Amino acid sequence: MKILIIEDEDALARVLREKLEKEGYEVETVDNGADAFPAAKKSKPDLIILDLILPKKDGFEVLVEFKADVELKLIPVVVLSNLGEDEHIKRAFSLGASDYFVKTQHPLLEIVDKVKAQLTRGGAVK
Amino acid sequence: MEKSRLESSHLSGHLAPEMTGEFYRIALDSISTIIIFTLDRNLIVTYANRAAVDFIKSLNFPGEVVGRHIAEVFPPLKPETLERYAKILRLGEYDEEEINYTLSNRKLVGEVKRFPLRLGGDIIGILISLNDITERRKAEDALKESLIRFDQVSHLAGEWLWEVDENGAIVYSSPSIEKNLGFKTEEIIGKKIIDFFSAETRDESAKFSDGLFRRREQFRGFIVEVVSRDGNNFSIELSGEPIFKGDSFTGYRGVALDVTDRLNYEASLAKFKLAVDNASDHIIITDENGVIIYANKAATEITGYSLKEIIGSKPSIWGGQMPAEFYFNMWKVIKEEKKVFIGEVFNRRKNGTRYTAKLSISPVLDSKGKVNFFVGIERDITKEKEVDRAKTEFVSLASHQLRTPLSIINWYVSELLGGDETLSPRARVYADEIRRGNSRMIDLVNSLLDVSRIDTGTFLVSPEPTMPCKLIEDVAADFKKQSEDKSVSISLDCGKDVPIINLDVRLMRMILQNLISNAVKYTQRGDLIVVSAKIDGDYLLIAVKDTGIGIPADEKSGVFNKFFRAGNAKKIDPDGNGLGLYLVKSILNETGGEIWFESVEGVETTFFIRIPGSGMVAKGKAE
Repeated sequence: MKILIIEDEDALARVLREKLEKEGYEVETVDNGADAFPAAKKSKPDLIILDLILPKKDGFEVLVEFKADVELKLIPVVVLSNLGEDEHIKRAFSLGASDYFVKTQHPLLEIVDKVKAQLTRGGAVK
Repeated sequence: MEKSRLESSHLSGHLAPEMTGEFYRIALDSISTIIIFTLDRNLIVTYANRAAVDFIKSLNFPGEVVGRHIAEVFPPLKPETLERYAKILRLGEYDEEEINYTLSNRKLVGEVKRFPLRLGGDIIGILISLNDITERRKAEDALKESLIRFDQVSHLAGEWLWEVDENGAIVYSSPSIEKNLGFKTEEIIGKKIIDFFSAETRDESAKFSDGLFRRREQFRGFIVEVVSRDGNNFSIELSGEPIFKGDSFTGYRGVALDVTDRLNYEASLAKFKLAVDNASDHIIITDENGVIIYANKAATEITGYSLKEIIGSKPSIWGGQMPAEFYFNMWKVIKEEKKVFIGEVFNRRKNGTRYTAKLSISPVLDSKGKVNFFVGIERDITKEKEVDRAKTEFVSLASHQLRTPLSIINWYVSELLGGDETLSPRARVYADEIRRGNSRMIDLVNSLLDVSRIDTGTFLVSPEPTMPCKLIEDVAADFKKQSEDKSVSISLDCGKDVPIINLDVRLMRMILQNLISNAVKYTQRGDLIVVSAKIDGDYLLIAVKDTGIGIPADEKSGVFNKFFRAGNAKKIDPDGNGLGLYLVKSILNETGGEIWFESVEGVETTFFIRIPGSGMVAKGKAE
């Protein structure tokens, strides 16, 4: 199963990647908003982990792009951001995010567990 | 007949010597207003003119007057009067007196003159003239009376009435001068008004007064400083008219008014006006219909309209940007309830740009409680708002930026502690310290973000129907591990009658989390925490009771202050940031709730929160 990580902070992307690869996933990373959609189009991942504050194009816009695309709109998008306010969380869900994590609030293990759960669920849907 | 004889004699152009006596008799008889008698040395009437005869007749005197003794004619003749006659006959001196007599119940006043009649060197008799001066006396008395009245009125009015002659010397001064300046009237008469001017104004005033006397014009409202009898300076306002008798100028007559208080009042009023004129807040005064009658400089600067455009207009020229409901409510408060209205409005400058203003309108009432004016004060808070927004954005941005490195540390340290088997026990302890420090920093950043949102009012309150008992249960469950680690048990006591209430779940969680977390933190191993909820009147009352360290009595007042930490709490948990209770209180303040506590140091503490049964007060997204 393939996971696309859209995260501009290299250190965070790397540890997440390591952790997920250890769990047996195939992981691809992108470090800005503009490259996210083309990368997803190309690799058609099973799950996308999306940061919100991104260079070139912010995560909300990227999310809108995904959800407007027939091919990509069913892929679960897990938002992983520093933004922790209600308004951001509500907005992300309203745009179609499957889950939302605030980086400082959630240990890496929990995130990985949730991703695994998503993929199991997602797989069942498929 | 006698008259015609006189006329004929006169017409004939000469008067014969034998006609002289006859001529005088005719002349005296023709004087109808003066009563004339002559007496001989024995005081027998030798002549009475027609006026005298008529007068005596009117006194009911029977028969002829001539040939009778004066005492018979005017009984009773007083001995003093007889004495006077004797004196005239003896010394030949003229005599005069005023007599009062009653005639048919009419009181009359007469002026009596007595002349000695001489023939050669001898005094042969007395001529008496009696002039009825009743009317003249009456007129004089009336004049006197009116003068007194005039003085009294001027005294009461506080005005000093004065008159000066053609040289400027005071010839009349009303008594009110005494009240005003302490001088007695007699001290004033003969002096010049200029003599009372203060040294500072004397030169200028002298010039003015010289000019007046040359031009002989009327003058109004000339203000001078005068010195009172006891040396104090007063300001008086002089007005005067020149007096002319025929063509000749005889002086000035006028009034003076003490205007010291008025000038002082005007000066302080001018000070106030200056202050208001130059205040940085936009200040206007309108009539009861909202038509602007005054606007200060700031009003013109802030709105961009000129004074000419503002005066006579209504504030709607820059207002009217708010919903009609806002203005409806505003007028209701200021015109019907006659109270001060305070609010925040959007206005539009003349150039079309919008600005935010803090507005307060106070009605000015008359003694009957009717609105006379409205005073409107506006402060352009556009900049303040921008600064606030910038501050919030800064805090928010800084906090988000901080979260990235904090996440990195957090995740890598967890990896180190969780997955790296090669880590020495010593390194593990160090890594754990890093994790602890980092999580403390994360809490601080989160709290700072919350505080900044609450301080700047940029947080939302979105109440939704919530079951309080369920919420409390959920939050308490979050502390399961923490409390178990300390063997502290959390018992819940939520009343069955507690209904669904409109609560903002996120804020409510924050409140409960803070209170329960404190309770767990500050309770000794093995103790009990009770979280209870019940309906208390119109309120939902939640209590979090612990049997912990308590709050020292002398530190109770600071509990809700930002960054405050009690001494005993710091010892137990050095990691706290002192923002929790501040946040809880701020949230409750903003949503219509309340918080208080009871505590005995070393025994127990209970925090109570009270939320209206109608729920938390919703708050929209701030600008």
